[in-house]
Amino acid sequence: MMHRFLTAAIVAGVAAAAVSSTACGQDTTQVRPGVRLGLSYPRGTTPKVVVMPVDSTPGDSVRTIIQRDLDYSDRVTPLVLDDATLAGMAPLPGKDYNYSLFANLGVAAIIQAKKTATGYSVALYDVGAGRRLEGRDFRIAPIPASRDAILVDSITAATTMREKALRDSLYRTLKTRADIMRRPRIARDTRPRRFVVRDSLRRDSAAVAYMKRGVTRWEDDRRDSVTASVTSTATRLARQDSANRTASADAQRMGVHHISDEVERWITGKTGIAATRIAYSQGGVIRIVDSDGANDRALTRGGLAMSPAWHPSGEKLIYSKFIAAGGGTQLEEAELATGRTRTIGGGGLNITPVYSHDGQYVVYASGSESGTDLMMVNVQDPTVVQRLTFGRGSDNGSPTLSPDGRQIAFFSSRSRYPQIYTMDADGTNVQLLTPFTPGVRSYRAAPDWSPDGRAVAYEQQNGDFQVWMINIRDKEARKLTSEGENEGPSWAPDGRHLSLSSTRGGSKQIWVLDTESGRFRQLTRYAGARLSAWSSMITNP
Amino acid sequence: MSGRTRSLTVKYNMLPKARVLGIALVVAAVAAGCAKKPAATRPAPRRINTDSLVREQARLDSIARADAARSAAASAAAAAAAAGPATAAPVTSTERITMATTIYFDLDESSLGDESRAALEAKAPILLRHPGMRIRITGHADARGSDEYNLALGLRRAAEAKRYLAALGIDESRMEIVTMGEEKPAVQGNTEEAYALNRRAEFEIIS
Repeated sequence: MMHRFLTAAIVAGVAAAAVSSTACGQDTTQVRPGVRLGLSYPRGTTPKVVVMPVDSTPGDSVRTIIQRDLDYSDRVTPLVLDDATLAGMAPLPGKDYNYSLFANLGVAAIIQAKKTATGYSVALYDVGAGRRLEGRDFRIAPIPASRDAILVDSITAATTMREKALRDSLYRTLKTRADIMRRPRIARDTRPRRFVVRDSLRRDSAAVAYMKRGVTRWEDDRRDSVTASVTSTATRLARQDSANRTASADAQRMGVHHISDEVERWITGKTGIAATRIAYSQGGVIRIVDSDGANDRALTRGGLAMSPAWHPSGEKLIYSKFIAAGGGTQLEEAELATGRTRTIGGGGLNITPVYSHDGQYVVYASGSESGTDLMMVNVQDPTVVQRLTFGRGSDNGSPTLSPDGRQIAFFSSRSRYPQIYTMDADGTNVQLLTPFTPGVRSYRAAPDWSPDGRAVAYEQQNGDFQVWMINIRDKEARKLTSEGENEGPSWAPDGRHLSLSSTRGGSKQIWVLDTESGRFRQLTRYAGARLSAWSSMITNP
Repeated sequence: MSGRTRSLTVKYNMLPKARVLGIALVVAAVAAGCAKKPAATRPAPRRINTDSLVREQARLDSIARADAARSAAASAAAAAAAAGPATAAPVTSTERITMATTIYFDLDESSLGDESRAALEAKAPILLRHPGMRIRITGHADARGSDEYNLALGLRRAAEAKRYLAALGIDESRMEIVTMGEEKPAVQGNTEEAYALNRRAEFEIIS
């Protein structure tokens, strides 16, 4: 607790030293000259903050996203006030905030974001100290306006012009034929004049009828095909436009999450985890969802894919995919931006892949008649495979790397039932991590090493399946869940939150657990969601 | 191959001795029990459960049958080889049904029970009779536990079935094994019955 606190505390300044250190959220012994002053709030509490309205647009989604992110961080408590109250608390033009108004509500800090030409200008105000503490401009590209109407107009205009030209040319063709029709059949007509005039009128009306018929038929023919052509072109362009706008909206959301994470660092000293994504498997499809549950979309289509794992860049995923008709499973890598996929290695049983921290290697489990063992393969040259475990017919899988990359934790059934073991990254020095009583049935699997290296989370069966964590240093194990069945934990980059599959809400869903407060929140909404993997910080949305 | 057959035969021939010894032990234990507790309500010998002995006998009988079938098939194959190119006999529907029989496993186990062994012993003569037949064995697990571990467990179950068929004289290259873990349950539901029916290995003729 103290250790976290030291790193979490915003480095204190001279003025803060005057405040009682027991009542103040910082360690005053760490004073260094020239560093900024941190926010002061009572030790062991989550400071209350107010996010001021960002602009006058209804819905105010930027403010909503920031408030939600701060709430999900479990380190800060956003105080959600109604717009009328907030309007009364906003500073007058050219004046500072009336800090005592906020202090009376127990608010420690005010967050204020203003729209700029390139994004948002965000500032943090310390209510206790009565001054602006931090501030920065964030670049966020705006979502381009919908071009649907413009597109349809311009396509229609272009089509109309082309149709007019076609129509003119048709008219000339018809006219030529009609003129021929008008000519008298007999060169020198000697009949009485009334017959000559009657025949001339008949020929003329026949020519006019011919032209009318020709134009009408042409128009009838063209109308449907022209409409279809305009519609299909407009639809295609509109779809493209919409995809661009969606991608841009996703990037903008991620940009706002970055603001939340930075604000959280200003307040608590630790960067938040809002700008992250969680991949999971559902109905055989790999899906990706933002940390706040928004933007849930499928990455793979068809087939049966399992066990996604993130590339350290957050731009690629690797997972195992069943080959049709009993062909086994193979590893597949997919780029998020393009959806492009690449197969790594051959058939057989190839499961539970994870990337090394440099993204150059993949550690996975490969099965054969003589058991399932961990392998390491070079992503660029998948023919180079190094065997890491020699399980002698046992099952070894679900590898997870320690943050320094020097060790691998995995499950192994070498002692009959699966247990969690650790070994050095080259496969030597295998050690049992989770103690068990020989002969007594116990079952532990699905390990995930915390990003701070201190603990491994896993699932354990005691009747039902629950998620536990064990400290690496003292091997002290702690049960984290008890309601429903909970499986497959994956750590957030903060080493505090876990994503896991849980049946606590009825169907199997991915939930986020704060291991410190025990708070749960549901992340997904599709039944049968499982095998989640939390990304590292997304730096390039 | 003959070496493996012989060692197997030797091993199984030893078993009846173990059985006799087992009965002797049970009788001795019962006698000891009676000596300690003369006031036992019912004569204990009636309580001896002979199920396992009967099952063991059935197993040995089926092995003997499989052995007989194997040697018959081997001599037939040898005769056919001597006569010229083998003419493959068509696979009968009865044989197809026998080949498709699913075998079941205990919780978290890949070892074969008596019923599973008997089912495999019924398949072996058919495979010997049709040397061109190739099969795929697919291992499955129930829905409980790590989805990832269950994939490995399913493969271990399929491998165990393959090993037993190989011990009965089937060429390993004629059998391929795959696993579906818990991904393709035979029966939906979260009951013990459903779990038991899903812990299985399925057999499929692929050529």
